[in-house]
Amino acid sequence: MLFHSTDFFVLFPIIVLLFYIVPHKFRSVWLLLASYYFYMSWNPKYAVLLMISTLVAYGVAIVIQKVKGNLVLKRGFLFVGIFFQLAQLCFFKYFNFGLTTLERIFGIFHIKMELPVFDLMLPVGISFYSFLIIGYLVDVYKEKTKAETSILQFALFVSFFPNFAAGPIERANHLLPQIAKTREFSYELVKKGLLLMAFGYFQKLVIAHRAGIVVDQVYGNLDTFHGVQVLIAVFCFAIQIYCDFSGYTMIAIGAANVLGFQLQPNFRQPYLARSIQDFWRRWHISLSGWFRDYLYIPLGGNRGKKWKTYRNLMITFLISGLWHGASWHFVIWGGLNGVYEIAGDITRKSRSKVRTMLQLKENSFVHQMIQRVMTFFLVSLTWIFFRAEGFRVALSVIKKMCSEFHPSVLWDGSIYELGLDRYNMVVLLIAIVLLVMVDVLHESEKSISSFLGKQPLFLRWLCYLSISLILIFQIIYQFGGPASDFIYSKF
Amino acid sequence: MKKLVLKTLLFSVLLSLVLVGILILSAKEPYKKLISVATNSTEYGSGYNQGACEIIPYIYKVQTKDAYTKLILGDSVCFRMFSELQDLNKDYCIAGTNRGVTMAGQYILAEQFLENHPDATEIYLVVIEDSLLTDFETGYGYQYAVMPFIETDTFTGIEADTLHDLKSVYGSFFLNKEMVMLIEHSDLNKKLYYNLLNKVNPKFSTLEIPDVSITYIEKMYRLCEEKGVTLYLVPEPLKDVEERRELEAQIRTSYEASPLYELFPDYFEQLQYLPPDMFADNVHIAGTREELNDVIRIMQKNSNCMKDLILEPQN
Repeated sequence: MLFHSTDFFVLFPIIVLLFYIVPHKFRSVWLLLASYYFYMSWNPKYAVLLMISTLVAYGVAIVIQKVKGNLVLKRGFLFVGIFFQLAQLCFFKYFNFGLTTLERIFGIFHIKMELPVFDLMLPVGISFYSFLIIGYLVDVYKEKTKAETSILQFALFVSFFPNFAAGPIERANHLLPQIAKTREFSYELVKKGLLLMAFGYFQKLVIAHRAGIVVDQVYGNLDTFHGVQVLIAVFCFAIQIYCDFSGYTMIAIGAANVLGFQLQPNFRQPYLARSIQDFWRRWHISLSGWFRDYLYIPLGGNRGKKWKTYRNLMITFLISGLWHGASWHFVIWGGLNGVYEIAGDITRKSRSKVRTMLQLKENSFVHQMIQRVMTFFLVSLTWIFFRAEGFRVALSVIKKMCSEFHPSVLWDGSIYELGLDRYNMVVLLIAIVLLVMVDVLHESEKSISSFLGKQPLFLRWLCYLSISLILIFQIIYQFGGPASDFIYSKF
Repeated sequence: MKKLVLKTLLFSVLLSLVLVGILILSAKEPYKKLISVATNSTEYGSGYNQGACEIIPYIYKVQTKDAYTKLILGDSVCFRMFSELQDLNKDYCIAGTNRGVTMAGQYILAEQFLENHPDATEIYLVVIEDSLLTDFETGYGYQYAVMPFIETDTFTGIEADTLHDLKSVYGSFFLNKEMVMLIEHSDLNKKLYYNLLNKVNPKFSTLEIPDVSITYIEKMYRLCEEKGVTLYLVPEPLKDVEERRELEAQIRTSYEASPLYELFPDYFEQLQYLPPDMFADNVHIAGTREELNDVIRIMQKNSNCMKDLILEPQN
């Protein structure tokens, strides 16, 4: 069930209403039922898998805690728990990928192999809940958190519907205590949640949807487009993936807020980042944090020699790429980000020298702008590998982008060949400007919701009404057509 | 909690009022086009979504008091084959429309014709077998079987059972004239209502002859009998492909088990299969006027009726 489907719009208010009506002790049961219902709406078979994962992780964590004096046993059980999760993930997500890769490798040596390709359905959210469970097991192993004794609460922690399909990937010591405690109704939290949801829908329905049309049009008909048009599509994908994923996260966090829960933030104005390193501190924060804590640091992190740090960085980014999808272009996307980080570190001194030569102050507006534009451009380049169907397509996108570069397409009307008519192009542009303004305000730590809260009732309600109408118009706009999925819910 | 519930209720009422206002404005000039563009509904103002506009002229045509004594009714295949012949024929009122009107719609057209043409002698219901299967559907049903007749106040002869069926498919709220007009004149309302119908209560025709066909062909037969008019049920030619023959066998079984078989036992006997290359799609015959006339001649021969229908200009 998608967050922007009619089913969700009907069910969510019912879930919330009943959640606050039922006695406290039954609220977790109600949420668990609702979460499983959400999960089963994709495919009921998935629920069995989720249930097995939950039960195994629940049991393994308790055993790890019980044998804490015996390091060998403790490690053994941690290994079993992690192996079970990874085995599932690898089977459903990477099995066919492994077979085709094997075929290709044999092909290099002119050995023809015809391995069967299995029709495996990727369970929704498997990449997310697998990481959530692995993180939990490692935390129990490291005694950062206690093993949850209530199967009910643990099952809800794993399957909590706002975030299970595409995160944020929660940590046990953050979400489990919230599930355990008695949640009182908070007017302010509910209001904040609803506003967040509204902004999430705005990002998804107004921006990501329209940007996605441009992207699909160009990537789907590469032969017909070149130069500026391809560049526009590349930038549009950067906007689309941000608004799609951030929109999803906003709705997830907002929905959790309405139910009295606080989820981790997942984005912090990523396109205002001043370097690639900075970008990864702002983009998909829960996943970056997971990789940092459960992979990069255990690999040695930045302790030790430079080459080891770079090796650890590359491993982390390559695995992060593979996590996103079972395809080599995702791995290349991850690798490219790793290369950026390493190059950024290597060139740090020389860049500083150039800055001194140009008499640019580190925190001057011009310098910050140059850094932000450069970072955005570099990130957008990596997204080509993320969006393209394969490595070769990505390369031809880059090639096309650099050929027949005629800026005149911006004003000679050929911009409307990109799939959006004049009306939608204007809506997209205005919405992007609004998004940038909101991000800039957030960057300077100004809260729009608290600004709104200080306005007179009439103005506030007028604003809420306008937001609601814009969103309803957007829902109607897409009504009757195929609903576009959230990109990250496919991972 | 109480504060939130009250505020939410008040806000919902306000929002609903604004939305209702927009839905009403979307059916009125000059807001109509603006709202249609802003909600991506323009396609609902043209093409296949103009069922009512397509049928209403035929309702007026059969209602007009003139010298016609014979009426040809039928589906879109009938429209394609016969409509061009109207200018050549002074006795025939040619009103082939669309299968979407259902047999209830065809009955209303026949009833209106007989009411306004006391000298009528014959009515020909020229339909492909698929049209006999057409029930009140959520696809095009509302715009063909409901809107044109409610807009022209001709829904009066409809049976109570049929009204009940219509209410269960389309909702009683959407069967009153104000609502129909609000939908008819607004692309946005069409988009919302048609899509919601398909989502909330999808209903499709099956391979069984539905009650609506049986009831209204019988009703049409009795009405004609009462007025001394002969009613003919004339089949249209079928595409000679394996799937069509299989389909025909199934429909024939259902037909022969229905009371229609007693009234028109020859319907399936008169069927004619034509080569697939004579068809534009699965049912509609393609070709020049001459080629269509040749097909009509076959139909005239097989059904032994419409013999005086003029097919070519006479010198």
